[in-house]
Amino acid sequence: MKRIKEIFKKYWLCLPLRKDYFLFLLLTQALATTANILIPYTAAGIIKFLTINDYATAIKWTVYFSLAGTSQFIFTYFNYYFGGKDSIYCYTNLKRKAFEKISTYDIDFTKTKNIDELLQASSSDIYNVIEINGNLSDIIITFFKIILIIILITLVSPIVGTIVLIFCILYLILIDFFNAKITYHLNQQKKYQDKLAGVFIEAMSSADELKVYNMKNSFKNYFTALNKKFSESFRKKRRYSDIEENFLQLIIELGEVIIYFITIILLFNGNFTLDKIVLVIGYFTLLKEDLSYLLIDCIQNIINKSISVDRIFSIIKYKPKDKIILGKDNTDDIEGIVEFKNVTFSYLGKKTLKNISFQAKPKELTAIVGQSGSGKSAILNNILRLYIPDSGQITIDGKDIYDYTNEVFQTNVSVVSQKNFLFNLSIKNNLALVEPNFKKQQEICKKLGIHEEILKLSQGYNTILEDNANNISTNLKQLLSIARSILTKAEILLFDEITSPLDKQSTKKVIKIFKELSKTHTVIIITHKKEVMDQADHLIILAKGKKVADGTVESLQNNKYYLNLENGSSCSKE
Amino acid sequence: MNLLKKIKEIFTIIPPKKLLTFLFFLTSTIGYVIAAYFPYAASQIIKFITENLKYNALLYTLYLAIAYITYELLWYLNYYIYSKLQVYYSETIHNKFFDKIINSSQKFTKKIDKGKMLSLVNADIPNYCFLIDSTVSYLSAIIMVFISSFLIFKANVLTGIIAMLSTIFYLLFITKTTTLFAKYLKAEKKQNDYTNNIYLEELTGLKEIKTLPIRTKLEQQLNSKLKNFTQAFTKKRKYYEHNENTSDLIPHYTKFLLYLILIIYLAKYNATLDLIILIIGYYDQIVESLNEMLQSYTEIEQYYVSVERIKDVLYFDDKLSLLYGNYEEDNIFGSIVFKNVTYETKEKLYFNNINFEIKPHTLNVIVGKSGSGKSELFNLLLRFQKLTSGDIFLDGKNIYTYSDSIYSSNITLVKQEPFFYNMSILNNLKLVTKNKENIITACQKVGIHEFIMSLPKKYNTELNQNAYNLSDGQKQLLSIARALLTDAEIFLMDNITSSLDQKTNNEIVSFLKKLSQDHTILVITNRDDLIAAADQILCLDNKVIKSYSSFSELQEKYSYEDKGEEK
Repeated sequence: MKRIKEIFKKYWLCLPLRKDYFLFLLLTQALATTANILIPYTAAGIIKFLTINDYATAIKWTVYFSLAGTSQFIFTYFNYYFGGKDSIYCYTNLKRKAFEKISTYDIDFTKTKNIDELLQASSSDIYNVIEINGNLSDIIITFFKIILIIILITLVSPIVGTIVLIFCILYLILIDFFNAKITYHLNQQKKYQDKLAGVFIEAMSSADELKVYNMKNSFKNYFTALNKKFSESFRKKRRYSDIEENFLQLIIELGEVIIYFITIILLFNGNFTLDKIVLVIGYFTLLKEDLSYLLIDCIQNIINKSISVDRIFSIIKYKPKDKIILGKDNTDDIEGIVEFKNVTFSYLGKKTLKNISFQAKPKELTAIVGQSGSGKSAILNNILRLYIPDSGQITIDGKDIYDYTNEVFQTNVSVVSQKNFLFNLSIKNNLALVEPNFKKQQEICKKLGIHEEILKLSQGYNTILEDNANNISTNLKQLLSIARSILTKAEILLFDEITSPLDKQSTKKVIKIFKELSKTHTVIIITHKKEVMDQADHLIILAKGKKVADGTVESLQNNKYYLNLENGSSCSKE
Repeated sequence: MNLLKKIKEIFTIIPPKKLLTFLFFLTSTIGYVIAAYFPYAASQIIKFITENLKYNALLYTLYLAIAYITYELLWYLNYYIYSKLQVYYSETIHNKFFDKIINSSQKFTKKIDKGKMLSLVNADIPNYCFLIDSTVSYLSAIIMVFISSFLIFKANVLTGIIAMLSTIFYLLFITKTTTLFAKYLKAEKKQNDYTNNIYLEELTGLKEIKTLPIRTKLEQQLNSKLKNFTQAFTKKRKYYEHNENTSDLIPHYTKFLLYLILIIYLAKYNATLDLIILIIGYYDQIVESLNEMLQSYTEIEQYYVSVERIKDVLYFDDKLSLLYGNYEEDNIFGSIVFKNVTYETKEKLYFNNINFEIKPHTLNVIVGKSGSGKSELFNLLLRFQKLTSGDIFLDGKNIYTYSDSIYSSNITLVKQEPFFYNMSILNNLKLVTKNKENIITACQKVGIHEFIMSLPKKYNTELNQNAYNLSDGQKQLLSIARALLTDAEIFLMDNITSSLDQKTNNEIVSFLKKLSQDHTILVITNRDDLIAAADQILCLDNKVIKSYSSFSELQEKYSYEDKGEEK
């Protein structure tokens, strides 16, 4: 019982209980249950009047019998109605919450969270749990119903009532014992099931590796061990649940036999009547059904769903590393002067940027260069408000970047990374996420020289990009990301190593695009390609998180850091 | 007929355990038959009470107790057999899946994506086991409906006819609502699946969502899916209610009618009270078995889709194994010859009659524009793809004559984006060789050993999420170390230096040069320094390949990157 309390505590922290729905659920359930109890009572009434040959009254009781059934139907109908309302409430709100929550995650969440698990939680787990408030109301009412039935039996015969009470207590104790065991093994089983699924996915992702490194056999051994463990945990869980279902059922059935036995002896001693036997047995049959309903449908059901609740809880209660508070400034006439003032920033406990100051101006191409690990990407992520500096300030047009609203910021600062994500939509719709006007989309694509290539695709602009745009070439994907970025009409454009997966021809094309864009925008690029950085108006060189050089390419010709960069970058000159 | 076909399929896609399945069916059928004894015993108890026969009444309570014990024991046995079957089926399917995955080409991932694999393991395989149960329950319940109907007829013909009519009506009603319920349940699940994609995109494209003004658009998409879900849910709920609640009215009113008729019987003819108890008891049992039967039927209809999905994997065949020969001798030197090779896919002609030769123990680079077929060249060499015409020879023998194990242990690949398992660095490499010394030597050779030793857990550092905790460059070096461990003679390397910084790149170039003294190496690259270090440069352009012996020759004869223009 404690376990169930914990599950609901968590569940209601994810989504507050709609008390009105729950109240109606309880009420209708209680009424339906009352009607349900009246059914054996009226049936016993029929038998009672038949034993004394009073046929007219017996017929009257058959009418009562049918009325009891009818009212049970009506109340249950309303119970289902409110249950449905509550489920819809839970489903839509949990889904929205998950969506909102995920959008606040920091971009490095994959370091601590598993994407597959998050996905499972936000999709199937939510779908799984939407009816558990209804299950709870079932448990509560069924519990009271069992108590009521025991009282009713006691009223008919205190001796039988006591026996039934003892059986019920025994039953509930045993349920708790078995459920603890089952839950443990169920968790084990789920754990191995997740691992198995993980291995399958790994095997799929590494189809090439398995072949070319001849690892099939050793990986298969690894898998087989896991598969055996899964079966073992499965077998253990089943062992307990098999005993539970059959053994507990038998206890209750033997209880019925004992009731027959005692009541018959009482009857022949003249202390009992036949209709009372029928009534007591009728009540007990109800009790039998309710106990197994409580066990199998309600309690086990909820326990089976506890893993889903846990996973939803961990999504919704996940605390992102930094809580970013965004401002309210929505003046949308940004010129595009980006300035770092003594910015220091640590990442995973390591100082990644040390006291950096620089300015990137509109209508200039600023290149940030340096060895890998020198802090280039950290600069961009700080500008994008994806990371927060430890100290210092970053401003756009003299205003702190955190003063701007999300809307203004996103439409004025845009980024293209080395690896971009394009949504599982058509090319047109991907671009429409930022600019719905198809004409404008085409214009930009023409400018970037990909219009022709898109038209050559089988569906043209309507080609659906599948699996993060794996069905188009890397070049086209990269250029489409640039198109998307430009379509935001942002004044400040950031490009993070976008030429590295490109071949030389496309790199040259992209350099031209940089030059073109920098005539009207603030363009900041990160690159390690010599031919790219040499085109910049303004070069910033970083080493180990510090700015070591700043100036035009010409002015840095004799700078040792610049020469160091050049060293070995093109062996053809040697 | 359709249902029979499905049932047959359920039992045949995995080699069935015939004896266990038969026992499973037998125990559940006998279980149902014993259950038919319960109302009879109850009515006998009542009968002997009314006749004042105390000991007979007590005797029947004893019979009832024995019947209950036998019944539960039988079900326990039934559950036990079912557990065995479940373990057998899930283990077998897992094994078959695994073999299928590791022996298939890249086409497998195109047909069965990762999300599908997840739901196969988490839902479809367990569902398949449930299906075995449902099918057996369905068959046993049909038998039980017949037995109970027969018994009721035997006790009293008139009530038998009423029970029959009401049963037929009930059956028709439930069949209709169940069909509709199943239909809308499917629709509801489909709507829920659509929301999956939104979350997948949100999770994988989080950076885009944070940096581009697209959140509201995605939110709108989600809301419209939620609306569709609500509609499907409400409809499903309606038929669920009909199924679970409204349908109860039919047996209830039938019982009402039965009581009335039996009372008249009692009043007019000399029937006894135990007849009422018996008939109502049998009728309850018909309804119960009928519910069981219909529920199993719904389950079969509902979960059958899992069988289809499992079949997608089990019957997947890319005919890849046909490509492998059985030449087993392991003395490969490493000379490769492409002779009149043409390769064409549905979309594109990649190579038109190309010819070239690679000498053993040389460093060869492949250059060309993206999309010119560099990776396809590797795929052909690795036998991942079949060529359209022509021949590729390895040491003078057609590559398709070699057996799978000989070939894969002699030719190895380093990918641009290597994959690592969720295990420690050591265990990842141990998949290739058990020898730890060799592992360390390989890591030293590629220059990643020192980095690994600087980690807190050294070689036992866990690699999570495809080695997220390593930089791209480190991953690349580790994957070269892994390739070294295979003892392969031929190394294919796909753009491995693109994510390395200059210093590491220089080291890799000299390392490859050294490696080529006793290995044959082919590298796809666009780095000048690597091209300059090569013994042979293969330039792919416009479906043909040209060979150059040095960088200067290439620059002279071929302006593949318009170098002249810049100078």
